[in-house]
Amino acid sequence: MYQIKKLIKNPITYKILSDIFLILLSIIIFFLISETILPGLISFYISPLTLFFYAFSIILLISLTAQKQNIYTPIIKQKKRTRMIVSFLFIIFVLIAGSKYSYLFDIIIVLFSIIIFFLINTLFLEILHTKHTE
Amino acid sequence: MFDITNYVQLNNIQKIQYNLIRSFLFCIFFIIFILFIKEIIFPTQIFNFKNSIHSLANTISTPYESNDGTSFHIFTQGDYNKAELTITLPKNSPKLPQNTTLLIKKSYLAFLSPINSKKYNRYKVKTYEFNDTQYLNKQNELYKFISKKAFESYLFKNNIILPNAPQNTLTNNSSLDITGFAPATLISSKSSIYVIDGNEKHPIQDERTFLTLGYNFDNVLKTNSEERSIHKNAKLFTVRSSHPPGTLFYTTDSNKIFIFDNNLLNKIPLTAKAKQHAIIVTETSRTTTTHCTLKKTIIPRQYKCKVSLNNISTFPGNTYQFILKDAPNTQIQNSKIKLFTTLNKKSLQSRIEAIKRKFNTNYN
Repeated sequence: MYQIKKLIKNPITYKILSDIFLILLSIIIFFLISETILPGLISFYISPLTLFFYAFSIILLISLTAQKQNIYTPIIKQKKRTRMIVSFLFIIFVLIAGSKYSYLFDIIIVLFSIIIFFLINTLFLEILHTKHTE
Repeated sequence: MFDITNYVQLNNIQKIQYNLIRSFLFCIFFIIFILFIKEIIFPTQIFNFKNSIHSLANTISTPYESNDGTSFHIFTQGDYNKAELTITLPKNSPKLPQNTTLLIKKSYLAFLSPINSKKYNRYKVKTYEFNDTQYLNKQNELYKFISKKAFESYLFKNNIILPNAPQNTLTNNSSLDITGFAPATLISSKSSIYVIDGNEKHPIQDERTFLTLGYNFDNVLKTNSEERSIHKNAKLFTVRSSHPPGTLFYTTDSNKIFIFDNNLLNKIPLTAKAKQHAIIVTETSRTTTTHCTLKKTIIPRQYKCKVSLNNISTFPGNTYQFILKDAPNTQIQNSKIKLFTTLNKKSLQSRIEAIKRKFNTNYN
């Protein structure tokens, strides 16, 4: 138990966990791109549920170690160019995924997805900002 | 190296430790990534059987008794070079005899059926023709063909042209039953191809299934909805389906024709028409086997063996049959079969083609 406590308080643990999260994030991006282009290509081998379960577990562990070590993640303002690229990719992904349906349905789905994405993003930033200023 | 947590400061010793762990982590990730890509390009197919469940989830057939011993089979579409079998026997069951040999055959399941030793004549039918109307004699009763195409689908017929209309058709024409296509005939609509199975027709899942089952597009008869309506729609014909009765097999190595009926293979005289409609097989695939000796593992009642499939993999067919030689009535609790692909140019090409096919199906 003492060893675990010591491990949680070690800054290396936090940094390594963050690196693992970065790796998982790149796997998720690879997964999303592959699944958008050819559904079933990767999900035949890895279940998305497993992948997201691991990602959220790592986030929880990072959050726990950060709390124990009093580390506050600095809020980095998103660059306009990055935001544009992410939004473009997001729209392309949803458009390709809905390409089997009618164009009108596809466009409606894209619009709804943008609204949901915008709301989640606002909510997430709000929570992060409140936590940071506490 | 790129550091996403540069706001957390470390001392010199910690920095060394961190860089070492980090390099190790990235190496592991890289190895796993390479192995994963290899798995996508050269996949391993896994089949399972659990005696406790009786459902379609079992991808290995329920064990059955054949002439050589307890057998089971799997259906597959790909080309594989190696197989690994693990079987677990139930508790309190007798152990397998020492050095039990596992034999593996590859062909179509129907073609692996026993050969009928008795004389077989059921493939021949009697038909009658009067004024461009054709009739089929089934157990001395006449049935009117739905169309000339249906009449022509019978390859082995003794057709008699009548000078007058058959008696019972004159007296009871309206109630005369209508008959459809010959068993195992391939018929098509605008969007599907069906295989006839008695009074039913099975839609074939896709082009790959059609080709895997050895069918030829030249033998498909174009039909209209009226002709198809005679046969009821039945379940989808997949790679896991066995050929229906009436299917013809032509052996390229021994120049013979067999017809599958009553779970037996029946040898019939070779004709040009039969050869054209038959599924190409090799007779040696019935006897050629690859084998390995089952070894006990550390887990109680579990046996395992690994074998190369190279001498049987080129045989046409979608079925691998596994036989526990000289071990009849073996009860199997669980079994697992892994099929591996060797890394070579041919398997790479076939995998790329499969991905291309998937892409085309998806985006049509």
